[in-house]
Formats: sequence, C-alpha cells, structure tokens
Amino acid sequence: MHHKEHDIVRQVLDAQQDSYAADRLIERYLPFIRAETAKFLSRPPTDSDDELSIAMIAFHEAVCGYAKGRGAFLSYAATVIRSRLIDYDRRERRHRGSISLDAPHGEEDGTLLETLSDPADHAGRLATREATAFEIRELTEQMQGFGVSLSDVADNCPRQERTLAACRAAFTYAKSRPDLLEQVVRTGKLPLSELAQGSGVERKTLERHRKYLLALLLICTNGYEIIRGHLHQVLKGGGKA
Amino acid sequence: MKYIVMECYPSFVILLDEDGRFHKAANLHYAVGDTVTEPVLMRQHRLRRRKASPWAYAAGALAACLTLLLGLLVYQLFMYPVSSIVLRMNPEVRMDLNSRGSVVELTGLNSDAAALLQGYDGRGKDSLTVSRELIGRAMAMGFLSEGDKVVFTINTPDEVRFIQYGTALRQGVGGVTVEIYDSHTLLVTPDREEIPDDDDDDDDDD
Repeated sequence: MHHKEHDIVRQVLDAQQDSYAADRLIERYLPFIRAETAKFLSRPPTDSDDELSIAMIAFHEAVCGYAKGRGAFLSYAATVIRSRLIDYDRRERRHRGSISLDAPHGEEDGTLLETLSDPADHAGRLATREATAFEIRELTEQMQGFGVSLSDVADNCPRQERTLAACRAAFTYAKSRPDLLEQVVRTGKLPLSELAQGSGVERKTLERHRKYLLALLLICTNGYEIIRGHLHQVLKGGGKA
Repeated sequence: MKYIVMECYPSFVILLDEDGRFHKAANLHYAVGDTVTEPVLMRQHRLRRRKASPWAYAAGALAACLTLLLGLLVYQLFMYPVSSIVLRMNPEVRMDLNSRGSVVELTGLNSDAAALLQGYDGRGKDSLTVSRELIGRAMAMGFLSEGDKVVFTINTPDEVRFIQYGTALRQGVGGVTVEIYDSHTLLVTPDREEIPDDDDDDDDDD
C-alpha cells in the first residue's frame, strides 16, 4: 500500500512539470474520476455528462496543487473533485428555469433552436469555426518550430493584471517595429533588450513571460486575421487594465 | 468575455480570451476553433510554502549561536585590544594590540601625532614594524632627529608579553635612544648591558 502511494506521488510530481504527462495520468485514473463523479451524481456518469469533464479538470488541478504534506494524493484529489462539482452544480442551478434551445418544439420533430435561428447563420458559424481552426493549426505549427507549445504558453501567461499590462506595453511597442516582428518570425527569439528599452518594461518581466510574448507577437504577423480580430481590444493597446 | 478554443485534450482545453490571456479549462465537448462564453476555467494552485519543522528552527538557532560565538572568538583574537604601547617622541601615539601582538588601532594623543598619522595605516602589522615606520615618518617630518630619545610605555596584562614587546623594541629600533616603561610600575627597565658605571655615586669616605 505504501509502495503504491509512493508510486502515485512520483507520477504526480512528474506530471506537475508536464501538461501532457498530466493528461496521461488523468487517463490512467479515469476509473477513479468516474467513481468520484458517480458518488456525486448518485449514478454512473456518461461521456456526455459535463460533470465528468469538470471532475477531470478538478483532478488536473489536484495534480498541479499537490504537495507531499497534503496526505495521500487520491484522498486529496477526491476532495478537490467533490468541491469543484459542488461549485459547478451551484452555478448551473442559477441557470435552471431556462428552456434549452435543444428542447423539442410542439408536436413536430424539431427543436426550439430551429425555430429561432437562421440556418445560414449556422453554416456561417461552422465555416468560421473551421477557418479559425485552420489558423490555430498554422500558429501551433509555427510555434512548435520554435519549441513552444500552446500548453507552455498557457502556463507562462501572466496572471496578475499589472504583469499583463506590462506585457501589453511590450507587445504594443513591438507592433510599431516591423523589423522586430520580422526578426521574431525569422529566428523565434525575442529581442528582449530592445523591447525592454522601447516599452519601459523591466527585462526580467519580459524574460519570465517570454513564451507568452512570442505567441502574441506571432499572432500579430500575417495569416492570423481571425485570431487578431478576437484580440482587437488588445491590439488597439486597450483591453482591461 | 468570449474565448476561442485553441487546443483540445481529453481532460482539458486551452482557451484564448479577448484580453489576450491563455487559460486551461474543462473540455465541455469543445472543438478547436469554437468560440465559447462560459467555460469552467482551471484554478491555478500556488503551492504554499511548507512550514519549517521544529528541527529546522532548532538547527537555525544553533547555527546562529555558533556564528555569534565564532564572531566573538574572531573579535577576541584579532580585534579586541589586549595591550597598548604609547610611543612618545613628541608626537605621541598609542598603539592598541590584539592578543597576537598585531596593531588594531592607532590613536594620536596630541596634534603633532595627528599630522604624523595622516595617510598612515599600521593596522595588522606588529608593534616593532609600526614603531620603526612611525619613527621614520617623524624624522622625515622634522619631529625627530638621529639620536633623540623615544620612550615606549607598555601596558599589558602579563609580564611575558611585556618582556616580549620590550625586548623586540629595544633590539629592533635603531637610530634613536630607546627607553621602555611598564605602565603599571612606571619603572624604567633598561637593558642590563646599558647600566652605566656611575662614578659620581662612589662614596669614597676616608
């Protein structure tokens, strides 16, 4: 039993360093996650249940937040999963009383959604999604060429407003310098000294969020119009302070 | 707030919000390229620093005590003045010595001494070397001439040190007439070879 616990802890500590290892660990412990979800739902969860997805992300949070002093990992994970499911349930209760657009309408086959939305819009939305997916694939490939993944970027993204504002300042400055952007695209390396000097942001702040800045600057370059459109406030130099 | 779904994995997705932040979130049956509005974002856990064990505090306290003791020992050995020698040649200078006989402080006892000591640092040298150097400076500055008298008053807690310092000064300082005093007794302790025959004291009573 002690050996098994030691083994789990070792896997968890490895997964803390690598999102993909965390994902594989979650797959390995999916029966445990299903069992915890079933306790909450009082029934076995199906793959389409949102609660199962919530439980998986909660397990991921438990992996990231676990430290040896917190007791057995699975007990800790069970607590985190239950806590998250309760939060999700409370949030969903606030939306209860609303009618689902997928609910059947009248005696005919068909949903409420079909009576409300224009089929052309739906096709348009699908086309937009595919175009967006295409841009995202291109961006991901370009970043992979520089040894950076979207998971790295998500982990490297600033959390505090102040730091995000600082990165935005560096990003705004870089946009005014096509030569710097061209250098980034060519080499995948950030000209940190020039960015720090031009934007007035401390170099160490830029270094700490290097991968995040790289992703944003690549989005600024040609070929990512849809993603740029999504970030239009940020690109104007605005966004929430 | 709108989010674009950037990447999908079985247990999580990566989203990009309109402010330019990337997030990990639950995969609520999303597809890459979707735009969503109410995701369940992954909460960022910061590992709290573990409280140090009581043993760590004890070890820290012990290390601090040992450092303090070591510091005191170093101070005692190398910096704490144990003896002093006053060098009087008309500049009057006091040399404070540590237990190893090295000079830790030089103090001018009159205005001429202040001029003599300006720009000179004898700390860390032995008393004989400092004495020779100060006598040389005094001669160069016109305070002293060849053959003039220089008086050393030694203040030390034990006789062994007194004899050691006194002997070194008497044998090592040249060019001047040396007199050595013990500050506790204020008695001259001349070298035996220098005790003159005093013909005036003969009392020839006939």
